Amino acid sequence: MSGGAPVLRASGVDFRFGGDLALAGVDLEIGAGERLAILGPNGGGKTTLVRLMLGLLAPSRGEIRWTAARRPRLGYVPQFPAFDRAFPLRVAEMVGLGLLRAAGRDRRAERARVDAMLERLDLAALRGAYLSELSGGETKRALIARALVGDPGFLVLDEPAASLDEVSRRSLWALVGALPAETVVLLVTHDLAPGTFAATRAVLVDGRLEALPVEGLHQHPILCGHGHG
Amino acid sequence: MAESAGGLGDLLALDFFRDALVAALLASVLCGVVGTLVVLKRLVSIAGGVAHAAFGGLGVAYWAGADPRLGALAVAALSAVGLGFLDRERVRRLDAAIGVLWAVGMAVGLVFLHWTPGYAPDLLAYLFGNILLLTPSDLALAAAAVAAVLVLLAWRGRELVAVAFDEEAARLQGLPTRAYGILLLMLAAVSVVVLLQLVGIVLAVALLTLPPLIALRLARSIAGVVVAATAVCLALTVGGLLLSFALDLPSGPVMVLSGAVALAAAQLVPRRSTRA
Repeated sequence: MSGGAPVLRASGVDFRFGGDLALAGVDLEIGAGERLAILGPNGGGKTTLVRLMLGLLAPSRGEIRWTAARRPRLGYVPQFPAFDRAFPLRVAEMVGLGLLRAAGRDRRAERARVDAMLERLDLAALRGAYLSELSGGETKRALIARALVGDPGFLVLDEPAASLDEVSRRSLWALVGALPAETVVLLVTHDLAPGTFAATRAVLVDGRLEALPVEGLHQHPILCGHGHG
Repeated sequence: MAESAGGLGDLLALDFFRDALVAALLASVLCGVVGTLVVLKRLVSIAGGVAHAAFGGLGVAYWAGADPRLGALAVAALSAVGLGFLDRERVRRLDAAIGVLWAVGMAVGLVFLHWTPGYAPDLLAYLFGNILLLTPSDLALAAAAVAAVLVLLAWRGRELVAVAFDEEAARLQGLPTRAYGILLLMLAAVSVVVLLQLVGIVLAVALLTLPPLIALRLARSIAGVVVAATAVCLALTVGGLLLSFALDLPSGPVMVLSGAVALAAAQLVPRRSTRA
């Protein structure tokens, strides 16, 4: 662990898809404020790892538990949307669903927070658009807005920059860079150009976890198209 | 069905017809609210399983001399809770469980109705409904169900929409999504029992499904879909009732076939874009 006070600890975690061992012997402790880059080939288990940490999957063996006194607010931008894009929701309504557990339930304050987040992700003009009308990149930006609007203390971004144009990528990295110092950010990526995500730690996931040096991470073969995927 | 197809004024003079209209209105609110959530959460097949399982409860209650609606409600509620606890990620098992529930519920109901001593109950009325044979307690049950659904919607409507939209995201925010999922199934179960009197168990799922599907072609927002589905359901039930008088056909199937025609017609409605 290279961050602050421990937030989450995974001990001896295995995960099986059917009979196949997808992840084995995962030991990982994450501290407050860590910015963890998770790299690895396609099918290596990166998404499985973060879904285990979020509690969306249960380990086949081992244990994952929150070590902080209170579980932090969770934010998750999945690689692919899990919802039906024909669902009759407008962009602002969808982003507002990221505030279900926000204190107070003051609708006016909620609306202001949603509008501010839409503005920052260049979605203000689309606040009244229906999800079925969004492009792939716009949908991804709306997902990012929903994950960030509730001020998460533990944010997981699974290939967030995929399908984003250059302007949107810059907005994304500016938002992530401006998060409070104690916020944990886990980034699953194949795309880590200099000046984007300031990782404090990195791991390679390929059925197992392997620590990677942060120095020179941008030149790692797996990011330069020389890896498996 | 009706002996003659008189004018609407003649029909409205009949107590049973006025009761039927009230029942249609109450059922339409259930179709609009619960049906929309069932369709959006893709619970239609589960609701079908619950409806057919309810027939087993109805048969057993009939045989035991109890109120058949209570038997149907008890089994529908138990089925909803049972299915709600199944792990959704094991889709094939869930699908099989629904199939088993569906078939066994029907078989149990038929066997117990067969064993019921004395005059055989009107099986067709339970399978396909008869809106003209409503009792005051049927209307009271429907009114209570509608009141409960509306209170629940005002209290936890946003959470129900969040779970129907993206259960995973709702769970990450700390919502007890399994409890909300079971709640949705319970709402479907209660609606099925209410609709039992209107169109019968076999066709109840059709009234929970057809109006929201039609409404999704006509409205864009959630609130718009709920209102449109309620209006469509009311049009189908009342229109189907009048048509069944005119054609001297059973009311339940006429309502559902009217819905199928309306759904086909709704596909011709062009979608409007909110984007320039």
